[in-house]
Amino acid sequence: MSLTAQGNKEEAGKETENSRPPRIAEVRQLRTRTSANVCASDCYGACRMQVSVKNGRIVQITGDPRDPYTQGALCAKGYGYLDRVYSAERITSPMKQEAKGSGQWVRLSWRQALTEIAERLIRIRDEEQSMLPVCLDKYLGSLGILNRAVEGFFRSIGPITVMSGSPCEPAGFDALRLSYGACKKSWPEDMANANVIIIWGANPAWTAPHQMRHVFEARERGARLVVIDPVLTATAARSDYYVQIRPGADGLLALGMAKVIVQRGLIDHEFVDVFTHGFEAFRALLESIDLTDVAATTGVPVAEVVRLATLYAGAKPAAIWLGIGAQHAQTGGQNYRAIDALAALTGNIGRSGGNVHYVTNEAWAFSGAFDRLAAPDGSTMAGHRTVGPGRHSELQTMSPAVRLLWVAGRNPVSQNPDAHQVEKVLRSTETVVVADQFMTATAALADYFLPVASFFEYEDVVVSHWHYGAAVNERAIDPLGESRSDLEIMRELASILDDIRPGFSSFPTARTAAEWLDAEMNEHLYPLLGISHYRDLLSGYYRVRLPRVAWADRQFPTHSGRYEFYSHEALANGLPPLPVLEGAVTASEAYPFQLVGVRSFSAINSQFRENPRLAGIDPGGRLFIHPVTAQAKGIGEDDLVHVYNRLGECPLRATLTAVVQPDLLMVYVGDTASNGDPLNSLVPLGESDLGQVTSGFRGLSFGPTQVNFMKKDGR
Amino acid sequence: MTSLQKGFLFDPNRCLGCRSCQMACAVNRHLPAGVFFRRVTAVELQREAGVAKYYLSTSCNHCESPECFRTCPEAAYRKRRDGVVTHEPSRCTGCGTCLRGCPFGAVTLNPETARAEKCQLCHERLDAGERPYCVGACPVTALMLIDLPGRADDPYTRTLPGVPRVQLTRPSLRFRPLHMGLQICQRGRKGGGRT
Repeated sequence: MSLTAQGNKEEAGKETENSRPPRIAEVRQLRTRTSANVCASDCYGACRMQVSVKNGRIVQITGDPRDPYTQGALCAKGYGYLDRVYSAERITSPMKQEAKGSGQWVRLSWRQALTEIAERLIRIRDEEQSMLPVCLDKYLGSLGILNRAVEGFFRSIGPITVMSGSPCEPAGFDALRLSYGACKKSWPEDMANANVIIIWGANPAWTAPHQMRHVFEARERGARLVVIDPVLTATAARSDYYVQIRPGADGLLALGMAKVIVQRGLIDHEFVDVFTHGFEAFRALLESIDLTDVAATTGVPVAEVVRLATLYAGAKPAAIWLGIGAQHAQTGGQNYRAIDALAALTGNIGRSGGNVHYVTNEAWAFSGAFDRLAAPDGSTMAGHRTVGPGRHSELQTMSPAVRLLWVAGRNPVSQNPDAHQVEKVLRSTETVVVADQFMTATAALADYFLPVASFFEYEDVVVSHWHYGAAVNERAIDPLGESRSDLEIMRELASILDDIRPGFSSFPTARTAAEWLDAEMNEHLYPLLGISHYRDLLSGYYRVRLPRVAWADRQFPTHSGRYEFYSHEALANGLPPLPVLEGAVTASEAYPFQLVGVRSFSAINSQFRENPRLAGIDPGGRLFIHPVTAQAKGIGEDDLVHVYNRLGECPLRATLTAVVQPDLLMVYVGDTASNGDPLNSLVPLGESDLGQVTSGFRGLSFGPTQVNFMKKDGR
Repeated sequence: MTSLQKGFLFDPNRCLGCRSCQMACAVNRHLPAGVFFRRVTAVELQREAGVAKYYLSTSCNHCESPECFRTCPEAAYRKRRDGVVTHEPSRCTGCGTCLRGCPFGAVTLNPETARAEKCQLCHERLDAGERPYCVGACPVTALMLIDLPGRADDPYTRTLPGVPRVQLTRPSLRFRPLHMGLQICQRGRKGGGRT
């Protein structure tokens, strides 16, 4: 059309002659295919992507502008998939390790690898007359519906041992369950209708950037943004009012705010009288709260507790967004019950622009075809033996002990507390199978490595647990090398078992991926999405039909049918019925600093850290220290420091920053020390106070992690 | 018709430091790992009221008087009618004059080609009516491409706290003024942080 466009053509021609890698202008003029994809990582966005494929290779990744949640923007990691899929570090052949941790890997064919694993499974059954010595440790590495094939397969071979519960959010789930009767939340865009938004223990600027659009929208209408966090995060830096709190003291701050709200008569009497239960008992609890103590423990002055309380109670509707952070504490569950109580006191429940937003499982809480698989003897998942999150050491002390551990979508050696302990258990387990894309810290201790295809390489469906949008992952490219989807891996293993020992597994090996997807979704998800086949999702934006505003009907499925300040279900479970904070943190003389992990924009747990382009922005291996603290120890920027406690020692490079409190040290979750040790090797295995009601086990507190540190000589 | 100059408008009150712009550019421009046309940096200034912290996303500023264009001995640079400063790598000998001349460090040497490269403002995307990768990647419209207003009616600022005010080349970059909220910070417990 113009001279410039012609110029581009000439330019493209020249570059081809020079045999350069194709540039976008050039690629555009040749025929490229566009594939619809959706990120399957464990994240809020479930971002839809437009992927350009040329000659069977992905050449461009952008967000899908038709996606109303992302409006075409991906996160840094999302663009980085182009690197991740074709990473030189990616493993695309099945391998066997000569001796665990030796690094001596031998390539095998799929047939050979899966036959050897099948024989080991059969030997265990023959020797023990039980499959309990087989343990599945599967988690949220990839959230496609077909990733459930792994659990499905293990259901088909009889009751096994499963790593159960959740290391993530269960204390918060329980808090909502006990207070409201269920975990529900409003649509994320309803946050834009708030007059005050309190973001409590979350850094969405880095972990849910698209949600900040709704937060900013509220602000443009005049809403005030409050952030409560131990660290002046990227989100906190953008707030109108930032309150730096001592880690884990969130429940006490909420009780202090509640006391102010009650004392000053700022409660919504109508809501409290009609829709809540146990207010008098809660008020009695508040009488025992002394604001001076609150200030001393939380580090938030009394005047600020009052300011927070009056701001929140005086600007209805006010929303609270609870992150995952503040429930990772010894009192994590009760912290969230105390915060929930603020919404009840002020009548912010069931109101547009109000409510408490916390991740929920509403869109996922369905039982599909994989769940219904039963073993040949008819036993179901109910017969599984369960082990709590992070309790790998129990695998060898329980009877019968675990002999084969299958790890999928998970990297426990990096991500579990007391990481060295997990490492020990893996080393002494007879057989460890790891299905992954990269040589993770866990995979390095495997006997068998099974290469899993990326979500660009097989058809699947992803449902967002935050905005409930559902989308199809088209098969953009063929699986790289010999890698395979979880479903294909499990199906072939089942088929090999059928050959060697008919009747060992009941996994339907003839069913195709498309049939599985249809079977998994048709009963619950199709009606909720308003579709008749999953491929209908390709025609537009569909979301699971859940109410725009949670609790608008004020129907609470609790014992009393009301919001419960005083929880009968807690009582029935032997838990405190009121948000009582038990187990105060004691200071340690030897380890006077508390280590806190926050999430980097560059990673989800240990995922994405292999990307050299992201590493060019966030190189990792950093310890963030307040300048005053660093100065007292004679530490300068980039100095090598050793952080240590009874559990381990991690060499890291110092970054001096005033965003951290003087007696805290900050690291990025999933990061690794320069000696290769995961930072979680310093974190004690500790539980939060809730989680067992909804998830079967208490959540993990991931701290408090008391440490000390010193400068290491030599740079 | 008045002369047109495209430029970036950056809002430090919206930028999340998420690095989407930086990655979207580097990935889709197929740059070698570690080479970036756009960079996001954190600015942290100790103030009486707390810590003034914000992120700054910068690339080539497509200056009105581009030093790269002025000094390149091979005439590899051009300034388009819309103000975009383009670079033609095939004319480049990698002499480095532009790298040394650019006051913003916006030109990089591509280690794979040993030639200078910089942000071309995705001009082929602009010509096709699309946004540059960086602008399209911003989840909160902190980074926008605008037609720069004339000096008389410019509502934006040309610098931010802690950023050197370099105007010699008349960079096509404008900012919204930085706002800082109220901060209540911990001062550390007695003894605790000082062992």
